[in-house]
Amino acid sequence: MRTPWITNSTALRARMAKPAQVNSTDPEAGMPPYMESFLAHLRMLVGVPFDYLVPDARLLPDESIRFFYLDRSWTDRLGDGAIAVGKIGSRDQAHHQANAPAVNQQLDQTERIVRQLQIGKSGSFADQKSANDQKQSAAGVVTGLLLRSAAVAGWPSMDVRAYDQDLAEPLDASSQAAIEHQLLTLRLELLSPSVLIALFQGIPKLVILEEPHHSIQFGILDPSASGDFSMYIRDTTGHQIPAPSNTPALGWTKGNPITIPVPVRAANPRVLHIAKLRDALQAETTVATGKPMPQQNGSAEFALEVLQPPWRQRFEGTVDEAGQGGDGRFVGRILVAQNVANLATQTAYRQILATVGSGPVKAPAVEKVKNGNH
Amino acid sequence: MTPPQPPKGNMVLWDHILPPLLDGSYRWLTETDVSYQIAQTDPTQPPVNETQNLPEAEGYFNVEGPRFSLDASQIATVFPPKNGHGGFNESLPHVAIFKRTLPWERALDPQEVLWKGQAPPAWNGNVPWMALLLFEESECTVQQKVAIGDALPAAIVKELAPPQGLQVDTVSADSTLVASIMPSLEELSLLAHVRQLNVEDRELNTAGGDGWFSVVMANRVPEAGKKYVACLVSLEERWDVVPQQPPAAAATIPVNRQPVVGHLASSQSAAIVTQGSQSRMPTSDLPIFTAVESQSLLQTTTGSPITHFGDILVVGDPGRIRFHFQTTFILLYSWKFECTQAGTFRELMQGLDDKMFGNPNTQNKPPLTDTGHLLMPVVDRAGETEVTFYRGPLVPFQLTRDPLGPYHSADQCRRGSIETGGEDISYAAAFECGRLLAAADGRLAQDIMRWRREGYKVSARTDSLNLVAKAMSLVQAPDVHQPFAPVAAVSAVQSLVSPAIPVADPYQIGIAENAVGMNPSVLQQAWNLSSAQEAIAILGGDAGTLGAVVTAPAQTARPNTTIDAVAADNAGLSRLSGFRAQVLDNATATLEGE
Repeated sequence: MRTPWITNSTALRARMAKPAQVNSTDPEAGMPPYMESFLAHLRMLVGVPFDYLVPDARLLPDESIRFFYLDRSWTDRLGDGAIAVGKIGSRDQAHHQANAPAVNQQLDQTERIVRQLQIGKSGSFADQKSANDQKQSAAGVVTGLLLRSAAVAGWPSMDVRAYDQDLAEPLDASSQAAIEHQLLTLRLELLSPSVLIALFQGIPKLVILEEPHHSIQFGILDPSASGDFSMYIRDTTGHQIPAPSNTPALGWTKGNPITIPVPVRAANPRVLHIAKLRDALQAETTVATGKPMPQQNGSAEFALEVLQPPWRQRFEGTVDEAGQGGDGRFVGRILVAQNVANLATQTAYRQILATVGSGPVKAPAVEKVKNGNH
Repeated sequence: MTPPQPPKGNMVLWDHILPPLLDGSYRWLTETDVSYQIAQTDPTQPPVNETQNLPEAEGYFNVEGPRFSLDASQIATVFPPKNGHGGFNESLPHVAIFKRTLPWERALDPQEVLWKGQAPPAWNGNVPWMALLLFEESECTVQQKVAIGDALPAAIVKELAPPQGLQVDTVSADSTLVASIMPSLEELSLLAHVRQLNVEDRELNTAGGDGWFSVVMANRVPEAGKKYVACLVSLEERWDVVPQQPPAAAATIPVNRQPVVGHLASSQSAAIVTQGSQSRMPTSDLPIFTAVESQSLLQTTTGSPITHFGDILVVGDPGRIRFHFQTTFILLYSWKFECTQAGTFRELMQGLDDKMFGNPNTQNKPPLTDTGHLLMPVVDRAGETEVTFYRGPLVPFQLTRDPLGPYHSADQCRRGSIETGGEDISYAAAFECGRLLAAADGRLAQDIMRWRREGYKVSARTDSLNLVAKAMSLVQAPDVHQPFAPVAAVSAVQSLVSPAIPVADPYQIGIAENAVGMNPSVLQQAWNLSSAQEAIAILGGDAGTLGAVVTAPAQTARPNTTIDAVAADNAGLSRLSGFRAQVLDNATATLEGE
């Protein structure tokens, strides 16, 4: 008989004599950092092939924006699949089964720092995780949008913000009121050069797409397309200045924004005479308009005047429930099943049966239909 | 010091951000100045001053940056968009660069040739070394990988002192046109600035995470219906083309402008003479200089280029020669766009088709159910094609989260539908997708294995600890998070030093008492006696037999005493010594007896 390679007492000693104990801050489900970060990224659909998200190109046609809820069950299955790698026996299954609630809870928490990790600023995964774990809260609803447009490629780095309230314009994104109502952006990334995905924590009532600030264009006005240029003048905060009075000599109509003509070069009438324009803007600062204009003493002040503020596109509380509505349970060929499931139909049905007098109706078949997906 | 990030949604504009050192070659020189006093032994004598300097040291270093080309990754964004079509006829093109100091890292005119000995004005420090020139596609020629000596005037190349064999991209255009576009020195400074933004709300971008951008804008407005090339050119040492003062402005804003024609006339030759007089033009390369002034040779017909001498392109058709004077620049970056009627950000946004994802009411309706499931044919494992339902993670309404988890295989996630008999493969697909993504990542597989192994170890330890705790009757429950050795040691010591736990039934009377023949109540039951007393009587005992409660004899009250009093009690001491001797004797006898 072969002697066993390990005796009971050696095994016991080996089990007991671990010099470093489990770190008291680690729950038993504590995942290795890379694994935790990978699974949290999966939760945010990072790396999931586009065809899984949009299985049919017609779901996201050119020049369209689509809002959605994130199906948590779907992302949970994604994580289950990832953990299934190398799962070969019942021991592995039992381990996963036992740890799954803790793993899910931790990922609900960690998924919130995925964007910070993607931006790659402010600290390592461990630092961010410990800071984030201080702020425990239950997993919320995740919503988002997909945008396929020439604007995505043409205006890289546009601003995307979501709010849980329909805030009125003028909206200052940095104001306290706006910050309080802003939803946490969980992901904001390009899936392809012309497709953008954004995920938010919570249900937005207002989504804003704003022209990227660093590519705010410089603009002038050419209303008749004749090369007869003019431009708005702007105050020190970049806002247009409404004319304080009706003065036809200056071209003022009370309340309308003030414009001034733009000088061009004699040799090339589509080249602006920048120096003369600067002088004209400086001269304008002495005109009493009620709003101070910046003194023209550098390129920043000049740029402030010729900038066109970025366009802000608002998408506000929609009631589009995509087709027939419903609670999202899977009910295949729907209309019949849905009508049967309808409470009004049920009531009517019972009434008819009651008048026929065949006794009370027990356990309507629709109950089964409702639970048909399990 | 970096200024704080602006608040969300705000932008801060800066005139310029100057680098601490301009690009170039520098020499550093280190000197020391060490002197000390030596006091004399005779205190009346003044101390002696001595110096002991270290030898001087010097060295050279270069500050380098983009000069003859600009990597496309440095460009944050351009407007109008690259290859874009749109109504840009009310916009000035511009380019945003990730590096905030780039436009000011070199001096345009380091020798101050343009100021001819006068002190330059204050804004001269703000003049960038690059400009964004906008040409129509037909107006300019972009060439790639040209030897720098062939492209630029020799005098400029001499000043630039480029490395041997350097090749650059160039853009050339008609000199008159360039002169009509080229901003003056002060205009250049007005056309470049720095923007600082808040980075929180922006989608990810590979670089440029700090929110700073330098921006160079053009001064020419695109015209609808034309194609343009925007060229970011280097103006380093180009005092030959950058005017000190801008050319004249159009006297009034002309209302009806006709296309300007025939502007090649006399101003052309005049410009050449002026430039030539600066002795910066490569006049020696021009073999037929006098012919230029001869109006008879200038033709308005176009021909094909024959050759060019430095900046001068000779265009000829049979029997005639015509000179186009070209100005060539080093091209740092360029992009094309077409100015049409529509396509600004605003127009695109307003034109968006906005719906919930999975809305079937779109053009070319996809085969969707009202739950957002897509009909999808798949080949099942029997090799037959069946139509299944698939829904991705993006759904048009809020769903409850499936509480049945975790799943261990894709088959576990497949669902059937009672109404249609169809199969829902959404979650099975998700499972497989996750599995494939994870399997593709070797590091993750290792981490998952480590995670499992760690779990097994902890679980084994917990089991062992529980077994040991049971066997050792530990005083403290073991905790897998706490070191076990101290707990075990404390328990062992404690059971050594403290007396054994009192035995509940030291004489096992309980066993005897429960024997059928000894227990009156059992006897009473068995024999059906009328009372317990009778059974006791039969067993021949009274209550005291099995140990009635015995009251302890009362302790004699003793007064409080002191150690001194006890020590003084000789009789007591001797009695104690006697007892001790007796105990020792007994012990000796017992041990020897064994």
